[in-house]
Amino acid sequence: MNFDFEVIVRAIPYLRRGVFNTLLLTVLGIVLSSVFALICTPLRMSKNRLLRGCFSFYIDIFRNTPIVAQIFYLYFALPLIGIKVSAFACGLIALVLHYNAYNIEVLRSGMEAVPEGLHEAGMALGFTHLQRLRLVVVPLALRIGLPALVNNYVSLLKNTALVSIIGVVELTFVAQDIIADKFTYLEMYSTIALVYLCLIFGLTWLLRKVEKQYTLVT
Amino acid sequence: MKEKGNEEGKKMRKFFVLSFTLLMVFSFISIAAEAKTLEEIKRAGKIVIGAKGDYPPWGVINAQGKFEGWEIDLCNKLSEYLFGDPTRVEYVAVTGGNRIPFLNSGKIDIIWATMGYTEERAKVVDFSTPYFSSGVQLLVKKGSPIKSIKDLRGKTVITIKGTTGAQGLEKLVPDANQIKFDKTSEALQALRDDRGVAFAQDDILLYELVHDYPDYTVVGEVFNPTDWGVGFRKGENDIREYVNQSLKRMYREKVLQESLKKWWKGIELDEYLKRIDAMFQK
Repeated sequence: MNFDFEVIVRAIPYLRRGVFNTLLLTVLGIVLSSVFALICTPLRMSKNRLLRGCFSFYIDIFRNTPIVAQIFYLYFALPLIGIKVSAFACGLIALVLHYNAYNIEVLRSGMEAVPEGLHEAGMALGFTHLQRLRLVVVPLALRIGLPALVNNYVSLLKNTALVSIIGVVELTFVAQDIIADKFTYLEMYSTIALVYLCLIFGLTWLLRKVEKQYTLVT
Repeated sequence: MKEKGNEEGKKMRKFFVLSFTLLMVFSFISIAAEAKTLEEIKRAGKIVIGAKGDYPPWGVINAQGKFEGWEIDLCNKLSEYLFGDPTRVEYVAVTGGNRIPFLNSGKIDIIWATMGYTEERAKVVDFSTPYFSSGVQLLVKKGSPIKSIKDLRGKTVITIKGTTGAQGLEKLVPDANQIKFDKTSEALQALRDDRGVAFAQDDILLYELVHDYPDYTVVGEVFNPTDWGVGFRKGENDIREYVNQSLKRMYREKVLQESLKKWWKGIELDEYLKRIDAMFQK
């Protein structure tokens, strides 16, 4: 069994489609899971016990079950009660729900790390609760939590591969599909490993720039 | 600050060069499981067979966790010929997608899992003489407007990765949109959820499914007919020869036919028995 570069060359158009969907899932996943986390974290820390309980229940469910199970659940179980969305949407929703749960916990620990004195300073300046969140607490919490968030984002990119199990045509699916026809394991898995490596390097490079820009000077 | 950035860039470049070199090195290493001989299997006192566990009635795992079905009967018979004991088989459940890697990485000794002969497959595994043949048809909901594969143009069709159904449709109806799964159970659930208008798969499996799901029916002309064979690692000719002889013996002793009658609940039994006769009397 020798390495056949031609197999890879012939697969390029199909692979390109896979990369596109992987990237689309990653970008949408990162943006949506972050936006939702920003909205959900204050609610997770709300003084209302019911609200707080609901969010901690949601986080427990999504952090303590395998993401594969969540994907299958959304795709195969929900249609039985009349909710049917496309495979791509199912995959995206699963990724967003999963990483939203992680991001909320990151932001929460960030917000808890903001010194009480700053809250009080905000109050002394006459800021409302929302203003204090927006102007003082959240920006600081984001900076504190940034390295952990970057971890989550990289993990999200890697876990887009799992969406292949419900037939979303992303990078891993493309490789597996070609392999099922041509048995070119070495060629296809080496190729996608390299592509994933490049994508992840690209993402971490980008995020490191952001991190540097916003790092806390202590 | 700038220097640090440069250093990081260097590090990254180093990593890339390293990983690329590794890839190149791997590309020149030939990988193949060590070949086994018939003697070694006999000495081991058991044969490891990759069989279907989700493909009634050819190979299924029953409620007790045991493999059973037509192919399983044949595997047990092979074990009887080999060791004088039908229970010396270690079964490994395989899927259409993983059976060949399992074989070539040495996880199993032979593949006996509804595998049809294709040129692509024959490049990586050796086949026994055929013992059965099937074609691809469509499973649709009763009353569906789909009557033939021509009706699939521009429609969404459910298939299984790497099967003759997926490959045949790709050629015959390239503008049908395929959603591909790994398992029959997943494909069937997707069909029941109306995620596609039809499920293209081996006719025999579909006839079996219709038994359990009477709301569905098999339609369309048979396309991509394929002969089924037992799969071996390339060059393991003594094992292949032994299985070929065993298959002939099973046909002569009518084990093959009687077992098929026992398991097959579909409507086209006579047709299949005729196909088998034609195959063995060639």
